[in-house]
Amino acid sequence: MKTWITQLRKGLLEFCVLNAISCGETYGYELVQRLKGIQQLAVTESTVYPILSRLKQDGFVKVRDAPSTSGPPRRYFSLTALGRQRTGEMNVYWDGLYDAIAALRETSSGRQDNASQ
Amino acid sequence: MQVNNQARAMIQSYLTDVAAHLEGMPAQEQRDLLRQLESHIHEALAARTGGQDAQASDVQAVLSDMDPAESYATPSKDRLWNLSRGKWAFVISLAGVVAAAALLALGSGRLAGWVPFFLGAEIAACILGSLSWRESFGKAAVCVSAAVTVITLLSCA
Repeated sequence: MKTWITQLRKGLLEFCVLNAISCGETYGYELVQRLKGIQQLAVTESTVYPILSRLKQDGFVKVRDAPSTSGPPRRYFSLTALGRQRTGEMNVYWDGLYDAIAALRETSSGRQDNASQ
Repeated sequence: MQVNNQARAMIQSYLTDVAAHLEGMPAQEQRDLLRQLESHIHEALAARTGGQDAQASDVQAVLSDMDPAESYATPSKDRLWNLSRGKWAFVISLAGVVAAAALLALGSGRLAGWVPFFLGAEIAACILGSLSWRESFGKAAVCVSAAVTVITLLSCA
């Protein structure tokens, strides 16, 4: 994978994990499968689980253990109040950034069109 | 879902390999990550077997779909100071070899006064290496430092 894609992806992973958990309580395996569905993120267990551990340590995510028929207790993740606040801030920032980049791209494509005429 | 002993041993071996690569991570985060991984493996096994008992071949298939243990290695902010314990042991043991070789090249007479330092460094590397036996660098450090210690002692005798 190209370096710039890796760098961009790294910054977005925590944002994506928080947003995925904000939809409702979820467990690790389910979360990984869901994020794997976003092909561009190229998510694997070794990227998601360390982020989850760190988010828990930082107080953004809380864990609830529930018995599982498949083996050890299933670990359910949900956002804490701090996590919801952080996710909200990140979403606001992302929306602003997205709009600004979209406007920038629109301006530059407009200039290219004018130049080609 | 039941997991037989062989399959359980394979899971444990994978988790031990992952744990060996988490040295830079805080202890609580390490424990969390390993519990999550164990839970992930069992969920993946249940999805594969449909809740039936899992065999070693199932575990093998699930683990081969997962990232290798090395991919959990925590990236170093400062590569020199964040070396793992095993790597530090290996560096110290090699430094002893290089220093001894340099002094021998200058003349064996110069080595005598430095013997306690070599032995101290090599014994420290040996202890550090044996504490990091799970790492390949830890094993290498023990071998190198033990060999240098024996050679130094023999050359002094």
